[in-house]
Amino acid sequence: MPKSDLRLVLRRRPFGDIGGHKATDRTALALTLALAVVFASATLWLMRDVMEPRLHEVHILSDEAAGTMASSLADDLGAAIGLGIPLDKMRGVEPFLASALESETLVSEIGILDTTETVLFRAPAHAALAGTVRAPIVYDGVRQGAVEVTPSSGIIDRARARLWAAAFASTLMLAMALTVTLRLVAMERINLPRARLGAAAGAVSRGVFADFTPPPEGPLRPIGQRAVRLTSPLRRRQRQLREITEEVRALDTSGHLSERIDAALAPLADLVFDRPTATERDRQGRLWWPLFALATLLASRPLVASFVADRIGETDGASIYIAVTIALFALGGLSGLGLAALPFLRGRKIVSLVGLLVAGVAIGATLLIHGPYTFMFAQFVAGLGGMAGVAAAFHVEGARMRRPFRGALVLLAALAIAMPFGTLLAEAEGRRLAFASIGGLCILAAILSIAGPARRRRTRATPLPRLPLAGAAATLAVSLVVASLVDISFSVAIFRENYAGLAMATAVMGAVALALPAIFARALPALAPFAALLAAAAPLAIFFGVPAVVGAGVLGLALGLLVVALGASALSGPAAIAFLAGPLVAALCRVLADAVSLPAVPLTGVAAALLAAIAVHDQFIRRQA
Amino acid sequence: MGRLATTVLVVVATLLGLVGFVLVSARILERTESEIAQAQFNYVLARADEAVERSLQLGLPLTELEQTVPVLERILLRAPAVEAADVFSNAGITIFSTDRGAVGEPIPEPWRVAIREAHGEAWSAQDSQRLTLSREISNDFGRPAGWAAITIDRNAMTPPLTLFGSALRVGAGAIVLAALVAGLLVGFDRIGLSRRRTDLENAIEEADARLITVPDAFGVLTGRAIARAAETDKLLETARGKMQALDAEV
Repeated sequence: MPKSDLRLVLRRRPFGDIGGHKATDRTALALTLALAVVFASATLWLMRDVMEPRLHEVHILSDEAAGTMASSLADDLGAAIGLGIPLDKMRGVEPFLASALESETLVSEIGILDTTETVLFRAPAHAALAGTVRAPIVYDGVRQGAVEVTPSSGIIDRARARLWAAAFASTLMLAMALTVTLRLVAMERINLPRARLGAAAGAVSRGVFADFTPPPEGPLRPIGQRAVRLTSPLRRRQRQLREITEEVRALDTSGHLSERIDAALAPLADLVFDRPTATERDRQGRLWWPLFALATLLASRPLVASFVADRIGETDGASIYIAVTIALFALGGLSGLGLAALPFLRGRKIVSLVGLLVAGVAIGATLLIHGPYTFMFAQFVAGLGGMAGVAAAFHVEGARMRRPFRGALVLLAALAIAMPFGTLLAEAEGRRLAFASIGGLCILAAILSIAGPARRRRTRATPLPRLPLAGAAATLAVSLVVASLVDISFSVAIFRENYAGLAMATAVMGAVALALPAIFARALPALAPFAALLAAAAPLAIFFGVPAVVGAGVLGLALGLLVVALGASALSGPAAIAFLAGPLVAALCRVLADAVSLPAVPLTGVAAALLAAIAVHDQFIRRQA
Repeated sequence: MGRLATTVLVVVATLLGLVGFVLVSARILERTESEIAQAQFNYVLARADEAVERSLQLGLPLTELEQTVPVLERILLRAPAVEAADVFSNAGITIFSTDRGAVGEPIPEPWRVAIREAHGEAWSAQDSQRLTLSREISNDFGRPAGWAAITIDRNAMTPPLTLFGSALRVGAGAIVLAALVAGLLVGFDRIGLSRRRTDLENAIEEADARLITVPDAFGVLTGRAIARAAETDKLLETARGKMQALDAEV
């Protein structure tokens, strides 16, 4: 390849192909699918052999409970017969049965039969009475008739739907968590050393024979060691040549050989043999910690709104309280970003440690919180401490070098894994205990932040990657819709007290979002407006009756496209600010919707559409003009 | 993290993940069973509530409804898991109870907390042994007159983790098998570098760019590096020859 072509490759795909991360992405995606098939098979097996038989037992229990109701009704009717009213002459029985049905979830039909099995009364009027649960109406030891009820299948059907949703969400979440972990491992073991070796090879091809140390571990170590063996003899020879040259110069006191010495050395003039490379920064800024910390911090997000709603009750101002709580977490997060960027705190481990500890305590304290205001304060503190702690890890030497690879993966993976994880936790142990567990995990993340070598801090603020207006508007639109739809609508309304369903919706969103960047070859900024448009479409689609899970999938597409569009700048400060501003705008939309008595979900869609229009204008009209 | 460590991680994560799924599913089933039991008790409570409200419609104050006690006692007969049934005033003083000693006593503090948080809706309060369900008693004008409550033995409500152990025993085979298959999948995967590694290793070892058969950007760069190294080697050798000649000369 001619030198100019090589430069072109390097300029267009900085380190991209050299690190081989696209190939690893594809392998990771294939591996995800294979793992998902394994997990799906296992969960199907568990559903068929373990859960369905248990569900059958629950069915029997439901029949028994319906039997209690039938017996109770039979008792009352027996008592009425005791007062001298014959069963077929009783008045107001049907409205009585209808009112019993209204307040009752256990039975769907009730019928009163006489001794000849003729139906005297039934509710509802069209009841087919296919049920098998009966209780005899007895007075004075004589059978006067029977009460027949059809046990309602509602509770069982709901339980079955939740079991399947939990199975689906668990499969997706497990596949995502393992794939992201493997992807990060592959990045540290293969892509980064490859990129570094590639950069070293590029330097050698330009005549820079610096002190290249091989990667510390992994499959590329042997190549690194051989590459070092290729260049070190050259450096040794150069040292020997230098020694001879110095000797000749020392002996050549008259200086008449100096021109010939210079001529002999002239072909080597452009070569560099003694520029050491900084290798220790490779070991810093690894992404597993920010991923873990961010995931624990975001895991409680889908639980927050419903927690506030339950504290407030069905009052008029409930949506304002919810909006303010969501906004306070985001405000805390924005303050945390600012705190972590202060020169004397930038990149310090102590910020990560204290920040996550504070966030963990604030989230965990929800276990004991009963009032809405205390909870709001705890959310603000959690946002402040958590975001400061996570942001500090990105102000480290080495974090920057990981950004062009799959750095953005951290943000996306944290969101994709955290949301179903938090909701499944709530399903397993209840919401308060889930908050406490998530708080505990935050504290674990805080302790783990001490691990690894001392951080080499970037003491000067490096110039932030430019985030174009289209990118900022798209980030804001997507974040606004995620906050409004998932954090609020799903949590408070659509999947209220149905954590398994919420887990399924968030897992679908995450899986779609994570699959997209693996398919696209490189960052495509022109996709930003499309991400915003899709984000705007999701709430509108749900408002017009599209199932919430499909809406979540559309939102996942928007998130994935956004990360493809932003590329490396997805982890930059401006993108983080735009992402945290999303919940603030979502809260504003809620307050506005409340003030003008409009449904909030389509209003969010309209706000996102406005942002999409700004993105389209900036990307396609202003730039072309 | 080496391949063995990665494989072990995948096996452990799969085991934990699937056990987690069994836990979530068992909790869904346990909650459904509790929901059914609670619906059953709620029905019983609602009938008691209705009976008291019907008596209130006669115009008597709640404190003078002596027929409330037989209603409450009938509840105990219908549902054996119900330990006590009470009627108490808005001020939180027990008016009637199947536990005669409780009459005139203030209700427990957890009940008061639950009433405050319920905002007029039906509420429940629980401790480690008992669950209390309660509904508001409304008078003729729809105003709150007091509360009816039943206290149930919690064992009647499927306590948490009663199904988990048995479900895990039945599903253990599937979980272990899935973990092993996932481990094998990841263990045998070579995340795509082994062939190229051999090419590059040979090429760098032999300092021969022609041995690189994969023409990707990494290979191209390595090839150019090898060529440049060979070229530099010659330059250095030539320079050393010239310098040694000069050395001999002086």
